[in-house]
Amino acid sequence: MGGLIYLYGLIPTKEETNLSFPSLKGFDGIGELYTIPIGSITAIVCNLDAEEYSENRIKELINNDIEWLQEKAFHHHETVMMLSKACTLIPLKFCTLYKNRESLETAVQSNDSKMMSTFALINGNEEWNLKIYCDDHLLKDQVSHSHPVIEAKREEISKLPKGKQFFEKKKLDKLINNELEEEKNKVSERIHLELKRFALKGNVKRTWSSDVTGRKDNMTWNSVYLISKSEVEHFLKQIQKYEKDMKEIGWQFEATGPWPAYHFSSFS
Amino acid sequence: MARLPFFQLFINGDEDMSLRESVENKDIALIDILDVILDKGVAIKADLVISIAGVDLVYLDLRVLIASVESLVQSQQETRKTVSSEQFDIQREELIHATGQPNKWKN
Repeated sequence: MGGLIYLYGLIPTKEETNLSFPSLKGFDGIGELYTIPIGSITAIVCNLDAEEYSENRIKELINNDIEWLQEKAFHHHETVMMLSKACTLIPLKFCTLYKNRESLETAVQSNDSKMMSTFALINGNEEWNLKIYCDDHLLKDQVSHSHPVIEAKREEISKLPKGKQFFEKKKLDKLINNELEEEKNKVSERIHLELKRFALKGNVKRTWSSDVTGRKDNMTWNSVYLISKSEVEHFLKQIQKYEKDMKEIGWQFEATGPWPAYHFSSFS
Repeated sequence: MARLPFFQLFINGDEDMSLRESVENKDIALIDILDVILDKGVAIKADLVISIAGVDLVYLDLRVLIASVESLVQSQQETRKTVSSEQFDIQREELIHATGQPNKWKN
């Protein structure tokens, strides 16, 4: 005894019969997943050794052992995905651990009603992610040649003496970059609003730099949607339409899903 | 590394497949997983032992973040052998022995 409890997710107890995981390995690859019924809510958990998985040790591994993070993040994802396919599931964040069974039970009991309304919200719906990428060079060209103020400024600069042109061109570059960012946001926001028509909810997330994505084009938009299963095909068709219409001018759309409802299960 | 935009996958894929299926079957990059499981998901307070809210993807190793899950699975299946200079030496000795050639690496 005295071990930690790793919590993968919560399901309505009445759906527990949907689950069948005869021998799903837990987080440490040794123990197995099991359920803890807490009234109308059932927790899906595994045990972890308290010494091996201390807070400091986990933080250290996450920050310094990328292979460990890779393996465990995949384990968490795969397990939660599988559970969410079988049940209405509130997915827990990676590495959510409780000191013991009692502390988990208390935490669940004190959030009981919020969890029940979350189940009602996510039941029959799916989470989808959209990332939009832009080829800034292509877009910059368009912005630079379609904006009347920029065109006028360029004309004005060409009449200046050479020395003055240099600084004015720098200023113009800055103006073009600002316009580019504004244009990207405006278009992405319009798309987001249009896509929200297919969704029950839609949230905007932070974007990642090219250093993280490893792509040449820039992530312009990162958003998540909670969509009724019957609407998903329409939602994806709409994205396909954007892709067809906008690919030539430097826009790329990447949809992923269905995800467990990570972004629509939070309650405070 | 398979990171196709999904429409490419759709066009090249089975015509009868719905958009939903083609997206669902697509490889997911680890960055997409971390973007979700580190950023969001419920963390119910109380006696929570661990909280890892502060992890910034920017500081993690890029090569791993962009690795697809497919390659992740492959790498797990492979035995983790590292090629050390000792192993090279052993292999060279074996080759020399097998070919019957004099060992020109020895002085």
